[in-house]
Amino acid sequence: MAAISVQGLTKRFGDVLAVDQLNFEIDQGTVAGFLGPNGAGKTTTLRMLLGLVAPTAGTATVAGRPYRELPDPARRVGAVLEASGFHPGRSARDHLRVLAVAAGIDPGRADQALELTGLAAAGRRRVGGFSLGMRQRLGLAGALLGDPEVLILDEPANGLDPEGVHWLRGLVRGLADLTAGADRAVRVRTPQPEALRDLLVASGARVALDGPGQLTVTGATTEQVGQAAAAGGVVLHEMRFERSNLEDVFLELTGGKGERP
Amino acid sequence: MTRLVHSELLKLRTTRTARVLLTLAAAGTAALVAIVLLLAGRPGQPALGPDALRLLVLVPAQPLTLAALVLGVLGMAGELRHGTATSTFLVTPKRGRVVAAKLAAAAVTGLAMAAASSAAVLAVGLPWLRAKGIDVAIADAGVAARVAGLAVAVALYAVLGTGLGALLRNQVAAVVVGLLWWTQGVERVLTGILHQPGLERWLPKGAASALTAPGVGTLPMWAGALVFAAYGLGLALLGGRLVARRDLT
Repeated sequence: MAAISVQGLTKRFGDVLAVDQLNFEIDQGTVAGFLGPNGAGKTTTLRMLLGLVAPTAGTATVAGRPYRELPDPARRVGAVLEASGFHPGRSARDHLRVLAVAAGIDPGRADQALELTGLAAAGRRRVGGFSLGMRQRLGLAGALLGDPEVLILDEPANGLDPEGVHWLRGLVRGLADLTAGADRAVRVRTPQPEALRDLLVASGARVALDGPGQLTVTGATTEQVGQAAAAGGVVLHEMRFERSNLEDVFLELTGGKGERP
Repeated sequence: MTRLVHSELLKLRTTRTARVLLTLAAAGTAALVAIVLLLAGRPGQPALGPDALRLLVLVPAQPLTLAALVLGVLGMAGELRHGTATSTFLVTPKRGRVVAAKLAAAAVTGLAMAAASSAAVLAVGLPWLRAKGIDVAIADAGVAARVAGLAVAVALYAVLGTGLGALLRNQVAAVVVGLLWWTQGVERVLTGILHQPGLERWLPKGAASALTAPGVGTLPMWAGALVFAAYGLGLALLGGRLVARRDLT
Protein backbone atom coordinates (compact mmCIF):
# COMPACT_ATOMS: atom_id res chain seq x y z
CA MET A 1 0.00 0.00 0.00
CA ALA A 2 1.25 3.48 -0.87
CA ALA A 3 2.19 5.68 2.08
CA ILE A 4 0.50 8.62 0.42
CA SER A 5 -2.22 8.36 -2.18
CA VAL A 6 -3.97 11.23 -3.91
CA GLN A 7 -6.85 10.52 -6.30
CA GLY A 8 -8.71 13.11 -8.37
CA LEU A 9 -7.91 15.77 -5.78
CA THR A 10 -9.54 19.09 -6.60
CA LYS A 11 -9.85 22.37 -4.72
CA ARG A 12 -11.73 25.44 -5.78
CA PHE A 13 -11.50 28.71 -3.85
CA GLY A 14 -14.36 30.75 -5.29
CA ASP A 15 -13.46 31.31 -8.94
CA VAL A 16 -9.92 30.02 -8.56
CA LEU A 17 -9.26 26.39 -9.34
CA ALA A 18 -6.25 25.85 -7.09
CA VAL A 19 -5.84 22.11 -7.62
CA ASP A 20 -7.37 20.29 -10.57
CA GLN A 21 -7.80 16.50 -10.64
CA LEU A 22 -4.45 15.61 -9.13
CA ASN A 23 -3.34 11.97 -8.91
CA PHE A 24 -0.17 10.54 -7.40
CA GLU A 25 1.12 7.86 -5.06
CA ILE A 26 4.25 7.80 -2.94
CA ASP A 27 5.71 4.66 -1.41
CA GLN A 28 7.12 4.27 2.05
CA GLY A 29 10.83 5.05 2.25
CA THR A 30 11.03 7.24 -0.81
CA VAL A 31 11.98 10.89 -0.97
CA ALA A 32 9.62 12.61 -3.37
CA GLY A 33 9.87 16.22 -4.46
CA PHE A 34 6.79 18.25 -5.26
CA LEU A 35 7.77 20.81 -7.87
CA GLY A 36 5.89 23.63 -9.54
CA PRO A 37 5.87 27.40 -9.95
CA ASN A 38 4.37 29.69 -7.31
CA GLY A 39 0.60 29.40 -7.23
CA ALA A 40 0.61 25.92 -8.73
CA GLY A 41 -1.30 24.58 -5.71
CA LYS A 42 1.51 22.73 -3.96
CA THR A 43 0.76 24.08 -0.50
CA THR A 44 -3.00 23.65 -0.96
CA THR A 45 -2.43 20.02 -1.95
CA LEU A 46 -0.30 19.36 1.13
CA ARG A 47 -2.88 21.05 3.35
CA MET A 48 -5.64 18.89 1.87
CA LEU A 49 -3.49 15.83 2.44
CA LEU A 50 -3.15 16.88 6.09
CA GLY A 51 -6.84 17.53 6.68
CA LEU A 52 -6.39 21.27 7.15
CA VAL A 53 -8.23 22.17 3.94
CA ALA A 54 -11.29 20.27 2.75
CA PRO A 55 -11.06 19.12 -0.89
CA THR A 56 -13.81 20.16 -3.30
CA ALA A 57 -13.53 16.70 -4.84
CA GLY A 58 -11.31 13.66 -4.73
CA THR A 59 -9.46 11.96 -1.89
CA ALA A 60 -6.10 12.16 -0.21
CA THR A 61 -5.01 9.37 2.12
CA VAL A 62 -2.07 8.59 4.35
CA ALA A 63 -1.49 4.92 5.12
CA GLY A 64 -4.83 4.21 3.45
CA ARG A 65 -6.90 6.63 5.49
CA PRO A 66 -7.88 10.28 5.25
CA TYR A 67 -5.64 12.22 7.66
CA ARG A 68 -8.57 13.25 9.85
CA GLU A 69 -9.40 9.60 10.48
CA LEU A 70 -5.91 8.50 11.50
CA PRO A 71 -6.08 7.24 15.08
CA ASP A 72 -2.63 8.50 15.97
CA PRO A 73 -1.65 11.12 13.39
CA ALA A 74 1.47 12.45 15.15
CA ARG A 75 3.08 9.02 15.07
CA ARG A 76 2.14 8.52 11.43
CA VAL A 77 2.87 11.85 9.83
CA GLY A 78 5.13 14.75 10.72
CA ALA A 79 4.63 17.96 8.81
CA VAL A 80 6.36 21.30 8.51
CA LEU A 81 4.13 23.84 6.83
CA GLU A 82 4.91 27.39 5.87
CA ALA A 83 2.16 29.28 7.64
CA SER A 84 2.41 27.35 10.88
CA GLY A 85 3.53 29.45 13.75
CA PHE A 86 4.54 29.55 17.36
CA HIS A 87 3.35 31.58 20.30
CA PRO A 88 6.12 34.18 20.66
CA GLY A 89 5.95 34.06 24.45
CA ARG A 90 6.33 30.29 24.77
CA SER A 91 9.71 28.57 24.90
CA ALA A 92 10.71 26.11 22.19
CA ARG A 93 10.73 23.26 24.68
CA ASP A 94 7.27 24.16 26.02
CA HIS A 95 5.92 24.38 22.47
CA LEU A 96 7.04 20.79 21.88
CA ARG A 97 5.79 19.60 25.27
CA VAL A 98 2.34 21.02 24.55
CA LEU A 99 2.21 19.04 21.29
CA ALA A 100 3.61 15.89 22.92
CA VAL A 101 1.01 15.93 25.69
CA ALA A 102 -1.82 16.37 23.17
CA ALA A 103 -0.46 13.50 21.06
CA GLY A 104 0.07 11.19 24.04
CA ILE A 105 3.83 11.16 23.45
CA ASP A 106 6.27 11.16 26.38
CA PRO A 107 7.05 14.87 26.97
CA GLY A 108 10.71 13.86 27.43
CA ARG A 109 10.75 13.33 23.70
CA ALA A 110 10.70 17.14 23.36
CA ASP A 111 14.32 17.30 24.55
CA GLN A 112 15.32 14.58 22.09
CA ALA A 113 13.67 16.45 19.23
CA LEU A 114 15.48 19.65 20.26
CA GLU A 115 18.75 17.73 20.33
CA LEU A 116 18.03 16.22 16.92
CA THR A 117 17.38 19.61 15.34
CA GLY A 118 20.32 21.40 16.96
CA LEU A 119 18.15 23.52 19.25
CA ALA A 120 19.10 21.99 22.59
CA ALA A 121 20.90 25.13 23.76
CA ALA A 122 17.99 27.41 22.76
CA GLY A 123 15.22 25.16 24.09
CA ARG A 124 14.31 27.29 27.08
CA ARG A 125 14.33 30.55 25.18
CA ARG A 126 11.12 32.17 23.99
CA VAL A 127 10.36 31.58 20.33
CA GLY A 128 9.72 35.30 19.83
CA GLY A 129 13.48 35.84 19.69
CA PHE A 130 14.17 33.04 17.22
CA SER A 131 15.55 33.59 13.73
CA LEU A 132 13.74 32.22 10.67
CA GLY A 133 16.17 29.30 10.51
CA MET A 134 15.64 28.46 14.17
CA ARG A 135 11.87 28.53 13.69
CA GLN A 136 12.28 26.20 10.75
CA ARG A 137 14.30 23.83 12.93
CA LEU A 138 11.66 24.03 15.65
CA GLY A 139 9.00 23.20 13.08
CA LEU A 140 11.02 20.14 12.14
CA ALA A 141 11.44 19.21 15.79
CA GLY A 142 7.65 19.27 16.11
CA ALA A 143 7.29 17.11 13.02
CA LEU A 144 9.80 14.56 14.34
CA LEU A 145 8.24 14.44 17.81
CA GLY A 146 6.15 11.35 17.14
CA ASP A 147 8.92 9.59 15.20
CA PRO A 148 6.55 9.44 12.21
CA GLU A 149 6.62 7.13 9.19
CA VAL A 150 5.89 9.95 6.77
CA LEU A 151 7.42 13.42 6.73
CA ILE A 152 5.80 16.20 4.75
CA LEU A 153 7.91 19.31 4.38
CA ASP A 154 6.77 22.50 2.67
CA GLU A 155 9.80 24.62 1.72
CA PRO A 156 11.85 23.06 4.53
CA ALA A 157 15.11 24.78 3.57
CA ASN A 158 13.57 28.26 3.94
CA GLY A 159 15.77 30.40 6.13
CA LEU A 160 18.28 27.65 6.87
CA ASP A 161 21.96 28.53 6.61
CA PRO A 162 24.18 26.36 4.36
CA GLU A 163 25.07 24.19 7.31
CA GLY A 164 21.38 23.80 8.12
CA VAL A 165 20.52 22.75 4.58
CA HIS A 166 23.35 20.23 4.66
CA TRP A 167 22.03 18.86 7.93
CA LEU A 168 18.45 18.73 6.60
CA ARG A 169 19.61 16.80 3.56
CA GLY A 170 21.35 14.22 5.71
CA LEU A 171 18.33 13.95 7.99
CA VAL A 172 15.87 13.35 5.16
CA ARG A 173 18.20 10.85 3.49
CA GLY A 174 18.70 8.97 6.74
CA LEU A 175 15.00 8.86 7.57
CA ALA A 176 14.12 7.62 4.10
CA ASP A 177 16.62 4.77 4.34
CA LEU A 178 15.44 3.98 7.85
CA THR A 179 11.78 3.71 6.90
CA ALA A 180 12.29 2.04 3.53
CA GLY A 181 10.10 -1.01 3.60
CA ALA A 182 10.58 -4.34 1.88
CA ASP A 183 9.11 -2.93 -1.34
CA ARG A 184 12.24 -0.95 -2.01
CA ALA A 185 14.93 -2.32 -4.28
CA VAL A 186 18.30 -2.98 -2.68
CA ARG A 187 21.45 -3.09 -4.81
CA VAL A 188 24.02 -5.57 -3.61
CA ARG A 189 27.60 -6.12 -4.74
CA THR A 190 29.07 -9.48 -3.83
CA PRO A 191 31.70 -11.84 -5.22
CA GLN A 192 29.23 -14.72 -4.76
CA PRO A 193 26.05 -13.47 -6.47
CA GLU A 194 24.56 -16.90 -7.22
CA ALA A 195 24.99 -18.13 -3.66
CA LEU A 196 23.31 -15.00 -2.25
CA ARG A 197 20.52 -15.21 -4.82
CA ASP A 198 19.68 -18.75 -3.76
CA LEU A 199 19.67 -17.77 -0.10
CA LEU A 200 17.38 -14.80 -0.69
CA VAL A 201 15.00 -16.58 -3.07
CA ALA A 202 14.62 -19.28 -0.45
CA SER A 203 13.47 -16.60 2.01
CA GLY A 204 10.89 -15.23 -0.43
CA ALA A 205 12.67 -12.23 -1.95
CA ARG A 206 12.83 -11.48 -5.66
CA VAL A 207 16.35 -11.27 -7.03
CA ALA A 208 17.72 -10.17 -10.39
CA LEU A 209 21.32 -10.65 -11.52
CA ASP A 210 22.36 -7.31 -13.03
CA GLY A 211 25.90 -8.07 -14.09
CA PRO A 212 29.09 -9.51 -12.73
CA GLY A 213 28.82 -9.45 -8.95
CA GLN A 214 25.66 -7.26 -8.95
CA LEU A 215 22.19 -8.09 -7.66
CA THR A 216 18.96 -6.16 -7.32
CA VAL A 217 16.80 -7.47 -4.48
CA THR A 218 13.17 -6.60 -3.89
CA GLY A 219 10.95 -7.93 -1.15
CA ALA A 220 13.65 -7.80 1.53
CA THR A 221 15.10 -5.05 3.68
CA THR A 222 18.84 -4.37 3.88
CA GLU A 223 18.75 -5.98 7.30
CA GLN A 224 17.24 -9.19 5.94
CA VAL A 225 19.73 -9.27 3.07
CA GLY A 226 22.59 -8.83 5.53
CA GLN A 227 21.28 -11.58 7.80
CA ALA A 228 20.83 -13.98 4.90
CA ALA A 229 24.37 -13.27 3.72
CA ALA A 230 25.83 -13.75 7.18
CA ALA A 231 23.93 -16.98 7.73
CA GLY A 232 25.17 -18.37 4.38
CA GLY A 233 28.74 -17.11 4.78
CA VAL A 234 28.43 -14.85 1.72
CA VAL A 235 30.70 -11.81 1.52
CA LEU A 236 29.05 -8.48 0.78
CA HIS A 237 31.00 -5.65 -0.78
CA GLU A 238 28.30 -3.04 -0.98
CA MET A 239 24.64 -2.71 -0.25
CA ARG A 240 22.53 0.36 -0.93
CA PHE A 241 19.02 1.39 -1.76
CA GLU A 242 18.26 2.09 -5.34
CA ARG A 243 17.51 5.76 -5.76
CA SER A 244 14.88 7.11 -8.09
CA ASN A 245 15.75 9.97 -10.40
CA LEU A 246 13.61 12.37 -8.41
CA GLU A 247 15.52 11.54 -5.27
CA ASP A 248 18.76 12.27 -7.07
CA VAL A 249 17.32 15.60 -8.22
CA PHE A 250 16.26 16.50 -4.68
CA LEU A 251 19.59 15.56 -3.19
CA GLU A 252 21.44 17.40 -5.92
CA LEU A 253 19.33 20.53 -5.42
CA THR A 254 19.62 20.60 -1.67
CA GLY A 255 23.19 19.35 -1.78
CA GLY A 256 24.27 21.98 -4.29
CA LYS A 257 23.00 24.70 -2.03
CA GLY A 258 24.11 22.99 1.11
CA GLU A 259 27.75 22.05 0.54
CA ARG A 260 30.04 23.99 2.73
CA PRO A 261 32.52 26.21 0.86
CA MET B 1 -9.74 13.80 25.89
CA THR B 2 -7.93 14.10 29.24
CA ARG B 3 -4.60 14.56 27.50
CA LEU B 4 -6.07 17.28 25.31
CA VAL B 5 -7.27 19.17 28.38
CA HIS B 6 -3.81 18.70 29.92
CA SER B 7 -2.25 20.05 26.75
CA GLU B 8 -4.54 23.10 26.82
CA LEU B 9 -3.75 23.75 30.47
CA LEU B 10 -0.05 23.43 29.67
CA LYS B 11 -0.53 26.00 26.91
CA LEU B 12 -2.02 28.38 29.46
CA ARG B 13 0.74 27.72 31.98
CA THR B 14 3.57 28.26 29.51
CA THR B 15 2.75 31.82 28.45
CA ARG B 16 2.45 34.89 30.61
CA THR B 17 -1.21 35.65 29.95
CA ALA B 18 -2.81 33.27 32.45
CA ARG B 19 -0.12 33.88 35.08
CA VAL B 20 -0.60 37.64 34.83
CA LEU B 21 -4.38 37.27 35.04
CA LEU B 22 -4.14 35.02 38.10
CA THR B 23 -1.75 37.43 39.84
CA LEU B 24 -3.99 40.34 38.93
CA ALA B 25 -7.01 38.46 40.25
CA ALA B 26 -5.40 38.08 43.66
CA ALA B 27 -3.57 41.41 43.88
CA GLY B 28 -6.36 43.43 42.28
CA THR B 29 -8.93 41.88 44.58
CA ALA B 30 -6.84 42.66 47.63
CA ALA B 31 -6.54 46.28 46.52
CA LEU B 32 -10.25 46.62 45.74
CA VAL B 33 -11.28 45.09 49.06
CA ALA B 34 -8.91 47.44 50.89
CA ILE B 35 -10.46 50.45 49.14
CA VAL B 36 -14.00 49.33 49.97
CA LEU B 37 -13.00 48.79 53.60
CA LEU B 38 -11.31 52.20 53.80
CA LEU B 39 -14.34 53.99 52.40
CA ALA B 40 -16.90 51.98 54.32
CA GLY B 41 -19.32 54.02 56.38
CA ARG B 42 -18.64 57.32 54.62
CA PRO B 43 -21.58 59.09 52.98
CA GLY B 44 -22.91 57.05 50.05
CA GLN B 45 -20.85 54.00 50.95
CA PRO B 46 -22.21 50.87 52.63
CA ALA B 47 -21.61 50.46 56.33
CA LEU B 48 -19.90 47.33 57.59
CA GLY B 49 -22.05 44.91 59.57
CA PRO B 50 -21.95 41.23 60.48
CA ASP B 51 -22.79 40.37 56.86
CA ALA B 52 -19.88 42.45 55.48
CA LEU B 53 -18.26 39.37 53.93
CA ARG B 54 -21.26 38.87 51.63
CA LEU B 55 -20.56 42.29 50.21
CA LEU B 56 -16.79 41.88 50.06
CA VAL B 57 -16.63 38.56 48.18
CA LEU B 58 -18.47 40.12 45.24
CA VAL B 59 -16.40 43.31 45.18
CA PRO B 60 -14.00 41.93 42.50
CA ALA B 61 -16.80 40.38 40.39
CA GLN B 62 -16.70 42.91 37.57
CA PRO B 63 -12.96 42.92 36.76
CA LEU B 64 -12.75 39.15 37.33
CA THR B 65 -15.48 38.30 34.86
CA LEU B 66 -13.98 40.67 32.30
CA ALA B 67 -10.54 39.07 32.73
CA ALA B 68 -12.05 35.60 32.30
CA LEU B 69 -13.85 36.68 29.14
CA VAL B 70 -10.61 38.01 27.65
CA LEU B 71 -8.72 34.87 28.72
CA GLY B 72 -11.22 32.69 26.86
CA VAL B 73 -11.04 34.81 23.72
CA LEU B 74 -7.23 34.81 23.70
CA GLY B 75 -7.01 31.05 24.24
CA MET B 76 -9.10 30.31 21.18
CA ALA B 77 -8.51 33.18 18.75
CA GLY B 78 -4.83 33.39 19.75
CA GLU B 79 -4.20 30.02 18.12
CA LEU B 80 -5.33 31.42 14.80
CA ARG B 81 -3.51 34.70 15.31
CA HIS B 82 -0.16 33.06 16.06
CA GLY B 83 -0.63 30.23 13.60
CA THR B 84 -0.32 27.58 16.30
CA ALA B 85 -3.70 26.25 15.17
CA THR B 86 -1.91 24.43 12.36
CA SER B 87 0.24 22.29 14.65
CA THR B 88 -2.62 21.89 17.12
CA PHE B 89 -4.96 20.54 14.43
CA LEU B 90 -2.22 18.38 12.91
CA VAL B 91 -1.85 16.58 16.22
CA THR B 92 -5.62 16.52 16.81
CA PRO B 93 -7.39 16.63 13.44
CA LYS B 94 -10.79 16.23 15.10
CA ARG B 95 -11.07 19.92 15.81
CA GLY B 96 -14.25 19.71 17.87
CA ARG B 97 -12.26 17.87 20.51
CA VAL B 98 -9.72 20.70 20.63
CA VAL B 99 -12.50 23.25 21.15
CA ALA B 100 -14.04 21.07 23.87
CA ALA B 101 -10.66 20.78 25.62
CA LYS B 102 -10.22 24.53 25.40
CA LEU B 103 -13.61 25.08 27.02
CA ALA B 104 -12.66 22.76 29.87
CA ALA B 105 -9.25 24.41 30.33
CA ALA B 106 -10.80 27.89 30.26
CA ALA B 107 -13.37 26.86 32.87
CA VAL B 108 -10.66 25.39 35.13
CA THR B 109 -8.59 28.56 34.83
CA GLY B 110 -11.67 30.66 35.57
CA LEU B 111 -12.27 28.63 38.74
CA ALA B 112 -8.63 29.13 39.75
CA MET B 113 -8.93 32.89 39.23
CA ALA B 114 -12.10 33.03 41.32
CA ALA B 115 -10.47 30.92 44.05
CA ALA B 116 -7.41 33.20 44.14
CA SER B 117 -9.71 36.20 44.35
CA SER B 118 -11.89 34.81 47.14
CA ALA B 119 -8.77 33.81 49.08
CA ALA B 120 -7.54 37.40 48.76
CA VAL B 121 -10.90 38.71 50.03
CA LEU B 122 -10.62 36.58 53.16
CA ALA B 123 -6.92 37.36 53.65
CA VAL B 124 -7.52 41.11 53.61
CA GLY B 125 -11.08 41.30 54.85
CA LEU B 126 -11.07 39.04 57.90
CA PRO B 127 -8.16 40.62 59.84
CA TRP B 128 -9.40 44.09 58.88
CA LEU B 129 -12.94 43.51 60.11
CA ARG B 130 -11.66 41.83 63.26
CA ALA B 131 -9.40 44.80 63.94
CA LYS B 132 -12.43 47.06 63.66
CA GLY B 133 -14.25 44.90 66.15
CA ILE B 134 -16.85 43.68 63.65
CA ASP B 135 -17.76 40.10 64.35
CA VAL B 136 -18.37 38.27 61.06
CA ALA B 137 -19.44 34.68 60.64
CA ILE B 138 -17.23 32.75 58.25
CA ALA B 139 -19.54 29.76 58.18
CA ASP B 140 -22.29 31.81 56.61
CA ALA B 141 -24.39 30.13 53.93
CA GLY B 142 -24.86 33.48 52.18
CA VAL B 143 -21.10 33.94 51.87
CA ALA B 144 -20.57 30.38 50.66
CA ALA B 145 -23.31 30.74 48.04
CA ARG B 146 -21.78 33.98 46.75
CA VAL B 147 -18.27 32.52 46.59
CA ALA B 148 -19.56 29.48 44.69
CA GLY B 149 -21.77 31.61 42.44
CA LEU B 150 -18.88 33.92 41.59
CA ALA B 151 -16.64 30.94 40.74
CA VAL B 152 -19.31 29.53 38.42
CA ALA B 153 -19.82 32.93 36.78
CA VAL B 154 -16.09 33.49 36.19
CA ALA B 155 -15.68 29.98 34.77
CA LEU B 156 -18.66 30.48 32.47
CA TYR B 157 -17.37 33.86 31.30
CA ALA B 158 -14.17 32.09 30.23
CA VAL B 159 -16.32 29.53 28.39
CA LEU B 160 -18.28 32.31 26.71
CA GLY B 161 -15.02 34.00 25.69
CA THR B 162 -13.76 30.76 24.16
CA GLY B 163 -16.97 30.49 22.15
CA LEU B 164 -16.69 34.10 21.05
CA GLY B 165 -13.09 33.52 19.93
CA ALA B 166 -14.13 30.46 17.95
CA LEU B 167 -17.04 32.27 16.34
CA LEU B 168 -15.17 35.41 15.27
CA ARG B 169 -11.73 33.78 14.87
CA ASN B 170 -10.06 37.19 14.57
CA GLN B 171 -8.47 37.87 17.95
CA VAL B 172 -8.71 41.66 17.82
CA ALA B 173 -12.31 41.59 16.59
CA ALA B 174 -13.30 39.07 19.26
CA VAL B 175 -11.69 41.11 22.07
CA VAL B 176 -13.30 44.33 20.82
CA VAL B 177 -16.75 42.76 20.47
CA GLY B 178 -16.41 41.17 23.90
CA LEU B 179 -15.34 44.45 25.53
CA LEU B 180 -18.10 46.45 23.84
CA TRP B 181 -20.76 43.98 24.91
CA TRP B 182 -19.39 43.77 28.43
CA THR B 183 -18.81 47.50 29.09
CA GLN B 184 -21.37 49.36 27.02
CA GLY B 185 -24.62 48.09 28.48
CA VAL B 186 -25.68 46.65 25.14
CA GLU B 187 -28.29 44.50 26.81
CA ARG B 188 -29.84 47.45 28.68
CA VAL B 189 -30.04 49.46 25.46
CA LEU B 190 -31.62 46.49 23.70
CA THR B 191 -34.28 45.98 26.35
CA GLY B 192 -34.92 49.75 26.27
CA ILE B 193 -35.46 49.72 22.52
CA LEU B 194 -37.78 46.74 22.78
CA HIS B 195 -39.61 48.23 25.80
CA GLN B 196 -39.17 44.90 27.56
CA PRO B 197 -37.44 45.68 30.86
CA GLY B 198 -38.12 42.16 32.09
CA LEU B 199 -36.05 40.74 29.23
CA GLU B 200 -32.68 41.88 30.51
CA ARG B 201 -32.26 39.23 33.17
CA TRP B 202 -32.66 36.58 30.44
CA LEU B 203 -29.85 38.01 28.31
CA PRO B 204 -26.29 36.70 28.87
CA LYS B 205 -24.87 39.43 31.08
CA GLY B 206 -28.18 39.91 32.83
CA ALA B 207 -28.38 36.20 33.60
CA ALA B 208 -24.79 36.22 34.86
CA SER B 209 -25.59 39.10 37.20
CA ALA B 210 -27.75 36.65 39.17
CA LEU B 211 -24.35 35.29 40.26
CA THR B 212 -22.17 38.39 40.28
CA ALA B 213 -24.69 40.85 41.73
CA PRO B 214 -27.66 38.93 43.12
CA GLY B 215 -30.49 41.17 44.15
CA VAL B 216 -33.79 42.62 43.08
CA GLY B 217 -34.64 41.97 39.43
CA THR B 218 -32.12 39.19 38.83
CA LEU B 219 -32.99 35.53 38.35
CA PRO B 220 -32.43 33.08 41.20
CA MET B 221 -28.75 32.07 41.30
CA TRP B 222 -29.28 28.57 39.94
CA ALA B 223 -31.50 29.82 37.10
CA GLY B 224 -29.03 32.57 36.19
CA ALA B 225 -26.23 30.00 36.11
CA LEU B 226 -28.23 27.69 33.83
CA VAL B 227 -29.26 30.44 31.43
CA PHE B 228 -25.73 31.88 31.27
CA ALA B 229 -24.25 28.40 30.80
CA ALA B 230 -26.67 27.82 27.92
CA TYR B 231 -25.49 31.02 26.23
CA GLY B 232 -21.82 30.11 26.72
CA LEU B 233 -22.16 26.54 25.50
CA GLY B 234 -24.45 27.57 22.64
CA LEU B 235 -21.89 30.10 21.44
CA ALA B 236 -19.10 27.54 21.85
CA LEU B 237 -21.05 24.95 19.88
CA LEU B 238 -21.68 27.40 17.06
CA GLY B 239 -18.08 28.58 17.08
CA GLY B 240 -16.76 25.04 17.34
CA ARG B 241 -18.70 24.00 14.25
CA LEU B 242 -17.27 26.94 12.34
CA VAL B 243 -13.72 26.16 13.46
CA ALA B 244 -14.18 22.53 12.46
CA ARG B 245 -15.39 23.38 8.98
CA ARG B 246 -13.17 26.25 7.97
CA ASP B 247 -10.17 25.66 5.75
CA LEU B 248 -6.93 26.44 7.52
CA THR B 249 -4.89 28.03 4.76
